Amino acid sequence: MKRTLLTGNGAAAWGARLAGVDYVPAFPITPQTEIIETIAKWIDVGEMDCRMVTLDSEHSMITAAGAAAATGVRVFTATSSQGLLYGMEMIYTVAGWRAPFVMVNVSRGLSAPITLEPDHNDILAARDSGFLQIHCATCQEVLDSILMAYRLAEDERVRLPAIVNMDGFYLSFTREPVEIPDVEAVTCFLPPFDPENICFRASAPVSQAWRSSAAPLTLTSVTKPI
Amino acid sequence: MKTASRILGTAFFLEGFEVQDAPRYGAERRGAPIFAYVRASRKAINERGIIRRPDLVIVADDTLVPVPVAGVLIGVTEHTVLLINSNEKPEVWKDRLNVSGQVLTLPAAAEEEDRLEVRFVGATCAGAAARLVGVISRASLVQAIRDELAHLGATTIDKNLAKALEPYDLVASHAGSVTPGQEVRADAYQNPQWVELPFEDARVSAPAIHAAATSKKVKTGLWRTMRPVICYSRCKRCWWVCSTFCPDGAISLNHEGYPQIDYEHCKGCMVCLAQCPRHAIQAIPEHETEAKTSAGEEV
Repeated sequence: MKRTLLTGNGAAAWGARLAGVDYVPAFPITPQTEIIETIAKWIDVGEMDCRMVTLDSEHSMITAAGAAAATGVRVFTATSSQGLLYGMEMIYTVAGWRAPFVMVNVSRGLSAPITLEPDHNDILAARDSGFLQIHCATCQEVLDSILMAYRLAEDERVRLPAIVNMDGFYLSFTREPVEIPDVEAVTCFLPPFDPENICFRASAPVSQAWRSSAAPLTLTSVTKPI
Repeated sequence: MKTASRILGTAFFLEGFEVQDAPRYGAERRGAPIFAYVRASRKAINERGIIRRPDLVIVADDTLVPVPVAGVLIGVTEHTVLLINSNEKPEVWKDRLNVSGQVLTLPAAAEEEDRLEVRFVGATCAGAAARLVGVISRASLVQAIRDELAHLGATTIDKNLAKALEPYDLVASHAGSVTPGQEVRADAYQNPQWVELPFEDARVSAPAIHAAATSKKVKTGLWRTMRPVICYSRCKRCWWVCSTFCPDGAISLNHEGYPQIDYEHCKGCMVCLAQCPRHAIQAIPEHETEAKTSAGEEV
């Protein structure tokens, strides 16, 4: 474990790195861009083994994230403000697919006029979308919540995408001490994604929460503590 | 100043403090004023966001003091130490600004002689701040600079070290003059001063947003702190590089083919100055151009 100074965005990038994500579809928007830039740099220098693709919009980005998650790989993405709203149609759609992935939203006020201040109206718009939401108050919580979000989202009793939210311009750009856990400790808490029953066939679409082998989920098994 | 805040933040962290450092980019345009802030405490820090009651305010560029959007004096009380990078004396600033707290200055001579020195002003400010707070050792300051600038190479690190250690020694007699202010309860903060506005048609209340082709009406020249001035005796009417590179389309050509700057829209980014192959463009602090204009001088 290492204690160092990280911005909220830096902590988010570390969360994705420690989670060992396989695929990052991306589209830039202030104040989130530092997350994607940091991951891009790590991929470039070989510190992260991951595929990053820049998409033409957040709508495509969230579609790509949901589609990739539905094939059983671990997916990470991030957006903010107008970007979240532009992808909103697919937010509801991929949640309905029960495709588990994690998206960081860096909350920022909405237009018009252009707003460079924090505000929660973006994330509130996604409240009933089916995405889990974890809201963070510190940079440490950003890193920790991403790891917890993957564990929650991928659990066969959940199988939903999750949003980890932080306040733009406040947490996103504020450096503070953050404990970066060791890879071994993270792997113990969050083993590689085992998609089990996930099977992606365009010709025979099924919900990713559907289980072919095991017994159907009951209320008791759903509410069992993780 | 973001780098300065990171150097100071890391130095506090190395001394075992809980710390926050953060920049605020303001208008997010080159040439617009920015600031950064640092909080440090022996206890966990729960407060975030802009510091409303600073214990220390550092002004890296004294031309920002009269610029309202820079908000240099916001939250300054008798407890606040004000450190200004300026060639004028502390007493002059204390009198001019009518502040009751301690005022100190750092000599800005080097930057005035050579504008290339401006990029080291962050290290200068961080070095002085590290001494004024009284709890940062020379070793921690040096380590913080090495950590924060590691990616820039040995030459840049050495230059920044020299630039930071000089003021660190210079303000030694004021070491520890910055002390923690009283903790402010959340409910002690002033509520936002709401302004009741009458309902207006959007075309009336926000014409610049709702009508087409109105960017000319938005006078972004007010953002400028430095003014680019073309020296026509040096200008060779090249391929109008300055006009081509101007990100705001604020440089046009007159009937003789000379470029002219539209100061109502020039934001002072100085891209033209950097691009001019003949070095025919000068940067002049905005307040000096005003003084010269009122004295009838040509600028």
